[in-house]
Amino acid sequence: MTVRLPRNLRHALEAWAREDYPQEACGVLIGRQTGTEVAISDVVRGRNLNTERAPDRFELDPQDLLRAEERALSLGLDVVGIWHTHPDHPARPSETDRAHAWEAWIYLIVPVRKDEVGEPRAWRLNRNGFAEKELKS
Amino acid sequence: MNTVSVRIPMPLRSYTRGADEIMVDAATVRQALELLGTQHEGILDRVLDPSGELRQFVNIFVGARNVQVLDGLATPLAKGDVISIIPAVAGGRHDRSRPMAC
Amino acid sequence: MTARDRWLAELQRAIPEITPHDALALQARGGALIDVREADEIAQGSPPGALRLGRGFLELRIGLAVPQTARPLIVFCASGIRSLFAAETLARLGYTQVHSMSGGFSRWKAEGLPVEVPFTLDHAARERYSRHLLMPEVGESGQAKLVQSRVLVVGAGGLGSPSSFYLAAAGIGTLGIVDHDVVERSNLQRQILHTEERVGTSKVASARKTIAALNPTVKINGHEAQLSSANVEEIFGGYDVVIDGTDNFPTRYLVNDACVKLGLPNVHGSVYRFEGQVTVFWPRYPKRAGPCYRCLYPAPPPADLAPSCAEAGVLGVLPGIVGLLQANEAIKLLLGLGDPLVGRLLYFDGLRSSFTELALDRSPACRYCAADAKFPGYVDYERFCAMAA
Repeated sequence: MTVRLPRNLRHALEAWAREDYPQEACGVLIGRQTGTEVAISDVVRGRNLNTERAPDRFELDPQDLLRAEERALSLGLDVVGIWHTHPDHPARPSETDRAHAWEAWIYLIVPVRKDEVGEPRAWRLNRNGFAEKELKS
Repeated sequence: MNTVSVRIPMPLRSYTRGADEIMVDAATVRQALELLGTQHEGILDRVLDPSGELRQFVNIFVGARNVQVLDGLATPLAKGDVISIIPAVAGGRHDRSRPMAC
Repeated sequence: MTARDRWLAELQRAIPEITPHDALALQARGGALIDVREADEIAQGSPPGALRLGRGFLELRIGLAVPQTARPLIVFCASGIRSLFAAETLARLGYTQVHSMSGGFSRWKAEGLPVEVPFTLDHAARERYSRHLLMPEVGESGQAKLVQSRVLVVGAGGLGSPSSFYLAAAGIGTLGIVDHDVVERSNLQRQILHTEERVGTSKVASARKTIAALNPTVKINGHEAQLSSANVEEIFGGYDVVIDGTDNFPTRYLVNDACVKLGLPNVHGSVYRFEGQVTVFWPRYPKRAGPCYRCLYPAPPPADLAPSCAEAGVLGVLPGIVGLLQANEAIKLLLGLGDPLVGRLLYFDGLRSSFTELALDRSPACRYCAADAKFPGYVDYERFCAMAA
């Protein structure tokens, strides 16, 4: 399975990641899933409700996810996953990510440091844990 | 009894054979979820805990409002209401098992 | 005939006597050989596998040593007299198949049957370890195991200080200490083996002095060398347990790889600011194969994302807590006690004062410890970790 993230959407994520650094940023991925590909066609920025531990935790405002669901529906698309940043940390799912993840969704992780945004990586939960999915533009 | 629709998020569609919307006739949110559970085995366990309360990792909306600010699972339904099951989304880099140098 | 002789004759009628050869055969069929001689007699030699319970505490010790009263017992002393009295007591305790070995250990030895010289604790050791000896889980045989054990502590720093100090106190017979550094004043906030006056001198020499002052019976092997692919097997060889108290990723991977190759349990501890982790990496643990360090971290983290204590700091007591948990794991492994942290990571949050346990899984794809993996060889660890991104 491949995940397609068009360049302009990636730039949007990078800008948000930089803006919120050193706090974690998060949001929703909207697109279409077929048998072999998840094509992302829109990204939504959400609010991180975990203000107490924002540097290393996020909790997406459910209202934002509901709005994203409605927006996806109006476009004939789906919420296909979640994106979030890892400030000063690799783009690998953490134990916290694993504990809260849902099957079928794509989890896109954007690593961000003080002065640069790294390569995002895409993951999907299966029975054995997170498996990385190829990310293309 | 009012016909309402329950919107199923992608992570729970394995229980509904891929359907993203299920129609049920119900008077309350609890009734709607329980009917959903009888039609689609397994899904209710992901939404309600063994004591029948809403799981911590799931939010239920009626229209644009979280049932938490309404009457919870007892929230009454009107014809044409849309119930959304919204998974709680959380995570972050915090990792108790991350490598430490020393 | 004296009263004693009459009683003895009575016992000889009541207690079946068997020859040393028959005793050996019965032992092979599951019988228990019970040595009721005094400790100084036992120290001269005893049949292999005999339960050396002595006479004085026999009634108190037999229940733990032989819980099944139907198991055949062969009691022996030096000549076959004291064993009759002891056998009678055991029969009274409910043991149904009690024999006395005629001629005792003297005849056993004269007939050329196998003898071993058991390890025994001397008077000073008995006193020193009395609090261990009181606990049946350790006892004399457990303490003897510890005294004959060899533990290697890699790093005489924040973690290695408390772990080696307490392991020496506990009576680990041989302690290896690997470190190539000298003591710096900034170490003293947590590295309790060292002292102000030893600043600038070798850490291994300093550790040796402190440990010898606490327990001079411990043999200390100082390895004043930087651990490398070239010397790791020579240094690790012959130890029963390795304690990883290093402060950098290249050495942690090297310690892991050598432990995996040599089949040694790797008692891991690490700290960061107010947090700590303890686990035992041991793919060859007989009770359940656990993961190795590489199953958990196939690749090292980029240097700037996992700073060292020299960069990020650490609360001085944190390595104390974690190092002692490592020592506890080492002793459990050596004695086969309890449940070791194999496949379990204990995480300590010093600010919340909470422990959390995380399950660690083996990676079936691990190149180093997977069931069908052939050891891929040591690598250039500095380079391996410098490439991380």
